[in-house]
Amino acid sequence: MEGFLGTILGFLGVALAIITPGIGSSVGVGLVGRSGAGVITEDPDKFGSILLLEAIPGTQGVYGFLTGLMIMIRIGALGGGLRTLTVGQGVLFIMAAMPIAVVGWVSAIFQGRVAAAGVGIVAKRPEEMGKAVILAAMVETYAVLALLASLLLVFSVNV
Amino acid sequence: MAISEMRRVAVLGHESRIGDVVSTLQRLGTVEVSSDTADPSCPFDPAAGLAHVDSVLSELKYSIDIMGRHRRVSKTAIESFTGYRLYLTDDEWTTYVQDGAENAHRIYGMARAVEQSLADLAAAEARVLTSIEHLEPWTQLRVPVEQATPAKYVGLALGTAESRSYEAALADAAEAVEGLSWEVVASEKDKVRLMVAYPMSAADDAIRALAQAGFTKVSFEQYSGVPSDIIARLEQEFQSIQAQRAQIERDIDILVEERPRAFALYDSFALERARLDVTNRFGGTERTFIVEGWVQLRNLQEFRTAIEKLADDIVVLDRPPHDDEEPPVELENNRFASAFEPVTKMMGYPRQGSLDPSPFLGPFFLIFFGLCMTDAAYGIVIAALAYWLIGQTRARGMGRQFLNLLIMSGLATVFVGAMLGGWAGDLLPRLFGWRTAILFDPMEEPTKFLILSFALGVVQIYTGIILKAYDNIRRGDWLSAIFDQVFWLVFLTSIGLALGGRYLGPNGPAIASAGQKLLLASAIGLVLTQGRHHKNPLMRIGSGLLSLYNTTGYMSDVVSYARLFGLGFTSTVLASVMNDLMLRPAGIPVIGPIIAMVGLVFGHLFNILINIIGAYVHSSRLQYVEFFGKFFEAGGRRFMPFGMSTKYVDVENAKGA
Repeated sequence: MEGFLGTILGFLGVALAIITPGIGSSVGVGLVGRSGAGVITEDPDKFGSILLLEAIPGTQGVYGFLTGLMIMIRIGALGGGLRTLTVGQGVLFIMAAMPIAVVGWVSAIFQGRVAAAGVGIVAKRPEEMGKAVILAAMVETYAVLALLASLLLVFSVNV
Repeated sequence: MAISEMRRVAVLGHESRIGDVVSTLQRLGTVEVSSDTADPSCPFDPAAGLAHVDSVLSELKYSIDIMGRHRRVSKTAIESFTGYRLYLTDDEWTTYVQDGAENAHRIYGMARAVEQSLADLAAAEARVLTSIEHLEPWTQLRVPVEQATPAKYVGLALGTAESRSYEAALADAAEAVEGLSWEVVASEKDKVRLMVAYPMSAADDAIRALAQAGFTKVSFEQYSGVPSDIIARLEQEFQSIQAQRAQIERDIDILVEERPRAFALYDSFALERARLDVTNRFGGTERTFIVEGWVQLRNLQEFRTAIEKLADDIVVLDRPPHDDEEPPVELENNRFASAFEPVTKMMGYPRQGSLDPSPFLGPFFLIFFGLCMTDAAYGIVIAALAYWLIGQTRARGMGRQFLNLLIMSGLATVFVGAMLGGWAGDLLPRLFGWRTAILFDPMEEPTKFLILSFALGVVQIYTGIILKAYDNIRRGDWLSAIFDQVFWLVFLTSIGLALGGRYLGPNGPAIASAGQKLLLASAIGLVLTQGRHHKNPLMRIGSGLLSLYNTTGYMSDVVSYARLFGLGFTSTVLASVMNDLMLRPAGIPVIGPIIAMVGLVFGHLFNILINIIGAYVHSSRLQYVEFFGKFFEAGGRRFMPFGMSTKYVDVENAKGA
């Protein structure tokens, strides 16, 4: 157990990076899907536009998954040659996962709200749908920055 | 390569030419008829014509709705995204719209008949089913129901009573009224169905006693005959209703065969309605008309020829816009740059007289898109898909420009992917051990990727500032160009030199110290000039000092380009993970390679799908926020020419009306 604690912490980092942005994206995509279903009831032709809006808050989940994957690669969880980490290394991986874990989670929910509001634009002024997409994409900036920070931190841990 | 130059045109002529002129305007689709000169006392009131057209349109809409409700329009998978279009040749169109009003009315009649028969059948069916339900419990009764009435000597009645108590209660009633008797027709859990008989001499007493005994009369007034016979008749009727329904289904099939004609007619009348609407904006006297509008200079000659060809007595005048007029905005670019117009238009139209950013954003957009996808194989897929869609959707105008943009973005992705060695991720190195990266491998040197993103950001931000300077010089505002753009360019550059100069080889320290001096000079320049709109000298300096704070804005602009790295790296890593996962089963004999192939195809398609949206959206966003922010002036009014906008039909070859 003692020698294994670092690896356990490393796994916790992977779990954090994947779980919370995943939760956020589920909530965000769910929000858009619910309001979008109402529009599709009235006008099934808008399915394509709605689907595009719905996909936007899904990226945080991908970013979290990506960060998790990078940690897995670093600790050898993918290739079968799992490394034994020190406690310090394990904690570093957790810390590295924090930016995307927290920002990915929160920004996905807020992005979902913006995109859900954008569904109204698609319903009433379908020709302005691009603006709805851009509004939602503005929120994404912070998730991208968090992903960047997390990735750079993951690379910087010596294993 | 800019905002299109507009001319104000006026057409004058005799009132009898209005129809021809309006049709020509619509067919050309190049003139925005502007209402600001509309004569409120327009002598050509189209109200009567409008009422007729509207009534035909509403009949057609009703018919189309009915058809749609019973037989869905069969759409291709693409059309479920883009919307349905019916493609007709010129000849087909002409055949379909002949005798428009009569045909529309005939189709409407068919649709109405179908709806009416369906409603009648539904009502009949409901009646039959209720009756059967009503009569079902009485099938044991052998007496015709119409006999269950008060007659001369004996009154008969049918009704229900409670199962538990009826025997005792009726026995009491029989004691009270002599001759009252009953027979159970059917017995259920809660209630029994009875036929009772009583002498008419004591009818009132009998009815009262029966009511006390809990007997509830059931009426069969509308029926005649024994219940089982009635039910048999009703069931026959039900069969015949089903048969009629099958007949109506055939009628619907016949009706739906008229759907293309209904679509064509709808569009033809909608076009007529648009023509009448526009006539309402004509000015004139009793015998002459005048119509004014905007036309792009490049379409002016074609327009003039087409109108003047109609008759000798029609005059076309044109002039450049007055200073106090704000012409509508349309973008005009060569084939390459026009593909980027959708990106600009999504943001909004630039103000008349300002710069059209479309050609300038183009190269950046393509490189950014390529960096976000970072894979040559993905680029090939995207370009091929867009090329295929052009053929499939027969897209025109904005849609076509968008697909062109997608083709170019795909090709740019091929280039960037080749530079960074992405061919379906790291598939080639994995399979053959090739090193594919020409520039660098983002998986091995992610920081280089990040620095490349920032560098591109700096280039684009500088381009934006230079464009603003160009715009200022174009308007003769040299001072603003020097103070607001050149000073900033020098200032930002010298920050870079002062901070990073010492890494630039042996002369580094000298460059750095030159940078520091330049930084100081340009900072002083900015402090002295940025507050120049203030009168108070103290406010000028204060405002100038404060303007240095804008540096943070430029910093955060550059940092924002980190998204290119974020998205590009995501795509690269996911592609590599797909390869890792999907190649694992490849070792299994026989089926292994097949599983791996299928898995790789789906895995990479999935990766394209989740990345392409982000690539497009973020490449656009960098233009809108970071690039446009430096020079773009929004607020142009979109040029909306009067033309052939149809809801269902596209007429191929030429435009007919």
